[in-house]
Amino acid sequence: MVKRTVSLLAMIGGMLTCVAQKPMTSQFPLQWKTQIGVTTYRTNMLFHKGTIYIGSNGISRDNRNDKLDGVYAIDPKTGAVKATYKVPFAGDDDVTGISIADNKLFFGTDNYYFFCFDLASGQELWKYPLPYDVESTPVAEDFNGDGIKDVSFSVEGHGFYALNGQDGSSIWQQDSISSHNGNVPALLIDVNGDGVKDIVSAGRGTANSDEIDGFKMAHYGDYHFALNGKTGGLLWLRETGAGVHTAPFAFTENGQQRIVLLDCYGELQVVDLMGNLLSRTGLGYGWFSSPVMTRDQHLLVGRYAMLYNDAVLESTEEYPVPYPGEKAVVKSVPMEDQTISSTTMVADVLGKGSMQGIGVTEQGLLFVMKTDGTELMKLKLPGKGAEASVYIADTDGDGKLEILVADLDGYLYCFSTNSKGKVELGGFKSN
Amino acid sequence: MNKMIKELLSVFILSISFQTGLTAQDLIPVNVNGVYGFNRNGNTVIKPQFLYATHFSEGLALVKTKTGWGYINDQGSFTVEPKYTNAEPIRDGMGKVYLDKKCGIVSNKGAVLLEPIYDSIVFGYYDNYVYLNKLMGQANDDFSQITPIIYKKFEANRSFVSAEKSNGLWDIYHKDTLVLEDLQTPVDYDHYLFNSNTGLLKQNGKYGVYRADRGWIFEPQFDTIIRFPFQRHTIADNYFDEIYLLQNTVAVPMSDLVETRFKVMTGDGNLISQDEFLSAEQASSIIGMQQNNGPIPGLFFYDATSTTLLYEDLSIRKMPYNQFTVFLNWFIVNDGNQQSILDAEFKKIDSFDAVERIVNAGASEYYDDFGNLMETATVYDYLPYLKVSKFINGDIQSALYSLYDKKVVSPFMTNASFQSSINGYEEMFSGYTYTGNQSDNRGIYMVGMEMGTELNYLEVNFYNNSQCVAFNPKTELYELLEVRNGKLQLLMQDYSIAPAYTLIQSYEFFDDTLGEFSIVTSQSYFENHFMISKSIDDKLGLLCQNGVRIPSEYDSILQNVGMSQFLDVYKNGLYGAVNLKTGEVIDAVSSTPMTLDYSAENKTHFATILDDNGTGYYIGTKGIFYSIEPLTYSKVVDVNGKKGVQGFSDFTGTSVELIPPLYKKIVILNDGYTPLFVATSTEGKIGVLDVNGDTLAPFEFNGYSESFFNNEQSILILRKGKKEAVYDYHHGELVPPLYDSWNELLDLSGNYSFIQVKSDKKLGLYSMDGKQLLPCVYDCINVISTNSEDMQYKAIQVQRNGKWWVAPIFVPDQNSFYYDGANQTEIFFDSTQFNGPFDFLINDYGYVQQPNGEFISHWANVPKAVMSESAPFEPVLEGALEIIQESGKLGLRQDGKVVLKPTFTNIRFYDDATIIVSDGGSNFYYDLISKKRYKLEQW
Repeated sequence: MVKRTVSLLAMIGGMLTCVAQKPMTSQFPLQWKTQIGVTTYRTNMLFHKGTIYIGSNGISRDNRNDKLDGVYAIDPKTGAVKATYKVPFAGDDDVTGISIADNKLFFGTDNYYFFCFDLASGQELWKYPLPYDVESTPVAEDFNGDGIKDVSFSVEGHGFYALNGQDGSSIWQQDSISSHNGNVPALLIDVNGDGVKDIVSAGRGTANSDEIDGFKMAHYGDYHFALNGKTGGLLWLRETGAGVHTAPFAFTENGQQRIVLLDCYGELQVVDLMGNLLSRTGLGYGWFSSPVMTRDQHLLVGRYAMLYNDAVLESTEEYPVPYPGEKAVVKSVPMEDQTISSTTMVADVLGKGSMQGIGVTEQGLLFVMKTDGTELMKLKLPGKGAEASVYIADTDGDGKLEILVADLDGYLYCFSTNSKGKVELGGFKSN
Repeated sequence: MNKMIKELLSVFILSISFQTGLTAQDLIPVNVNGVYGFNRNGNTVIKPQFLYATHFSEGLALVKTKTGWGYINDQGSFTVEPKYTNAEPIRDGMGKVYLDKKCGIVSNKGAVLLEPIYDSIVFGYYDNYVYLNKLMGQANDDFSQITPIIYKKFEANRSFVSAEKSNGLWDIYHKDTLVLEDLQTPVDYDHYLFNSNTGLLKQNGKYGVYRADRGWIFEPQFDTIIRFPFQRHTIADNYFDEIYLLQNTVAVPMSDLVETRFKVMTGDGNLISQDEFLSAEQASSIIGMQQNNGPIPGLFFYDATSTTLLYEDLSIRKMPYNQFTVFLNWFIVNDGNQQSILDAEFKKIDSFDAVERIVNAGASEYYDDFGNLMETATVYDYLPYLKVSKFINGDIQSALYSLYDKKVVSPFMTNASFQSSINGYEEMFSGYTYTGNQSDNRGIYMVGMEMGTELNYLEVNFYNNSQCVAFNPKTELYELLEVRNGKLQLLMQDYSIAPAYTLIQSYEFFDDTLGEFSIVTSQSYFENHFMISKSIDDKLGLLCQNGVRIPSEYDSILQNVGMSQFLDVYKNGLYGAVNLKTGEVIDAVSSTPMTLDYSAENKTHFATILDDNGTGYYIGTKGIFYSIEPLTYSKVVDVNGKKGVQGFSDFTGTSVELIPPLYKKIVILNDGYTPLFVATSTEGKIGVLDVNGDTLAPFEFNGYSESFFNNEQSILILRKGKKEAVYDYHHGELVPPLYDSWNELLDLSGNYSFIQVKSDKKLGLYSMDGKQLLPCVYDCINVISTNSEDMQYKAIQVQRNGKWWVAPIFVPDQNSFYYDGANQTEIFFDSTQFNGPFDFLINDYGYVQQPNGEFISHWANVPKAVMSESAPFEPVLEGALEIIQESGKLGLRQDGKVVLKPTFTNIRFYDDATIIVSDGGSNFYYDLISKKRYKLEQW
């Protein structure tokens, strides 16, 4: 039986003594920084064939024609922008999440379009018109079995799409579930065992539909749900009492695959592949940061809101199927006056031979903690702070890890480490 | 191809497009060797020619050519010429176009809505904005109206938009119209005013109030405007109605001084008073009054002789006093040398030498842990009573004054002190005790009393039900007193008296299931408030809820485990019981507590007690024991030639008189459950008595017979002259003795009964619980089921003068009908809902003959019985059966042969072998196999 711990990176405003933080560069020297524009807590970074890729909302996230909007391909050694992938026509061309497969770059924009570019030629291969913005992170999988990776993504308020990676034609569309506001980044996992990965995400029923495959939509919160990768059909659906902004996370426990779901009001559910509830606990209000489960079975999740409740990850009598776990210890890293939207990554950036949790706050701290929630260090970033999760990998090939921070000041920072340690979870939606 | 052929071909293609429903949205941009064209279903429709192309949206596609970006229609023609340096796809009828880094708007019709001269254009959620030279203007939906582009920012506040200029001054727009210019502040966001037309604005350092429809209500003249925390929700627009203090510095007349003074305005911009500015003291008192939390929230303005009041509903009234205390809905005013009490209408109620509020003694003293008085504070009662005083023989004497009764309700006393009593956890105000006249004793005033008592009591405790327990020093006994008819009545007197719950907290019993003793406390005992008395030798008694006094003779009184309206009483080692409601006493004869229950048959409670040999069942009524089976153990006895009934108890071996020996003859009837006694009076009239000796049927009948309904419910038929009455064993009269005869009418599904009465060959209908449904005027009555799933919905069909009517009826579930002797639900039947008339009825259809002789069918189903369809009569087929009509009568053919001649007015298929027909006022079944008729009763 495995003991799991929830580590809440919670902040308790004004209650704790403020400790002066060391600058980031005192621990992790700055290798380079490059202007790319602002990012969001859903922004992901990809490291593909020796190049860093990241999407940008440009100078601002508003709907102006913005010269910094687009996707950036960056040299990991120098930070030089090797290429940009931009929408050829004017408009709000903010890019949030990206995906790369078969040497093709997939991304949606706030200009009601989804694009596919050929990374080799830099040419647009196809585009697909949409009814609204794409704020989510696309996921690539061969949905139609033609041997070529296709792509799926949600459109704000208009459901999910799967497009043929070959020509951009529609494979399926599930518009009875919209992705409401949060545009939850999807988890790609084979739920139904048919060999094709399915989509686990969250959203809300659209107003013009009161049924999803027989499920009544008389519900004010969002839903966690799984869609069949082949057809887009609903595989399962779980109601939540609140909106969902966090991405589902899969982990393995005792050889069984589990999925962690967390809504904005802090209801954390662990379900099996078919969405059956295994355990459930309340963590209190305010979650944008996605939960991650470390291999040593600690749940790490940062918190946005001011409120804080102690919580334990345990089953209660209210739920008929108790999760076979012991009562878990909660340990919080207090983050005074900080808000956390980024998802905590798991890597050995200190070179200690054990994993650490690494995250950033919107107010400019990078924190490093043990996976059991013990605080190790808080470092002051040179920029403003970040919503986007850090990216940790040996990107420049020197055998040591780098930490990439997409700061809200519009720059992508690359910090060196001395660690030759391993990376358990290096990036948000970076697979 | 020459031009004419090309044109013809394009028309042809266009017509195909229309015919096949093709749209521009079907056109897909395709990149062919680096240039874009458009395909539909894989076929080239617009040949590759563009440097870039988007999909069509709203009829136009954005394309790039060597000369720039433009928009084409689905024919490939340019609706907007390709002259722009960049552009956005059409959305919501418009597309942004850029020319030399300047932005404009074109419509999807090709019109230029805004020339590309702006730095930026932003489509907002509610408004659109244009930017030029780092300044902005606000545009409406279609950009047909734009404010001057001179602003740094816009702030929307309800219907106002405040626009800040570079110089920091604000222009105010109301619904797109510029209403004010160059103000120092925007419409104040923190001061929501009453409606969307009113704004708080600052000009030249002074605040004013502006209404879009009226202009300045107050020119800017006030230093500050204070929102008064006095809020009232209005139905009108769900915003708060508020009061504003308009503060200004004004010169004090006849001096060089200036003073801060106020005017008061309601949130809708109306001044409450046109008077001079109020002083700071007056304003303070306004706010002070507001904190008074009384039911007359309001603002108060004084002058030398009067006070103006602004009420919560914003009505303004004037009171001719300027010194007053507001108290609940009354005012205490200084009125010459006296003090007067005014009601809310300012009408004088009463005057005294002094009128004071009553200090709440309990709340006004604070003690430390050692009992030392630490602090006294004046805390008043918020009860509608006052202390009023007047000079009597040179002494000031005080009394209690009831504001509700508008009179003095206690004696006048010197040094009077009043103490209110808030009773129990329900926090009910019960009354006052009072002292005075140098006496240690107290007087009592309780709500409902005309006048409080003299100073006769000590230790007064108030309880619910207008009761109190007080110690009477004269008798040295406690008295239970109750307000009745405006006075205190003595209910019980004993060595001590206390509420039952002080003695009966719990009851211990052995739980067979658990195998252990359990303790229960019934909440019912607390709800059924009653008092227990204790004698000087510690014996207990009580006062039942109907006023019956149970003397203090029991060793203990306990909860009864069976029914909470009973108490166990225990004395001499034996248990009895007392009915709290009725005062009924079951003697203490059982060695174990009795279990009380209710016998519906005998209409009485009974106690189950254990004797030495096992269980004995006994009923206790009127305080006497006798057998639960009075019939078996009842015997008609003859006393001096008069007949009565005695019951014999096999438990106690005693007998009891059930019916006194007053009758000429008594016959004991038994339906197996309930005994009834048919008695003949000495005058020869027959009446019916029940086991309690109560009269079920009056002595006015001259004959009787027993009968029963289909559900085996026993009934008595009583004859009065030639008329018959129907009586139920439990409920008495069901049908009065007004009819020649009666019979039970089963509804045609056979699952519910009615009582059909007959007089002079006419029929009427009663329900089984004796409710008259139909008067006795009909030739035929049927009840049919109308809903096979819910048998409670039925229809009554009546025939009169050859015509049929139909009305719905709802009957309650028969299974619960007589549960516990009470109707669970009522029959619902409204005879005004009769629908018709019909010439004849077939199943649920009524047929009416038209003047042309044709029959029209009406769907007459229930419960609505609304005629919604009609059709000419057609033979009604059911398998081999066919209902036919001839000369306005119905008949039946089977396999083509007439088996019933058309002489009926109502035919209803019942089952495969049975139909129900009505003829000449009678219903009967017709068996299609035996081809015989049966009366309903026979069937």
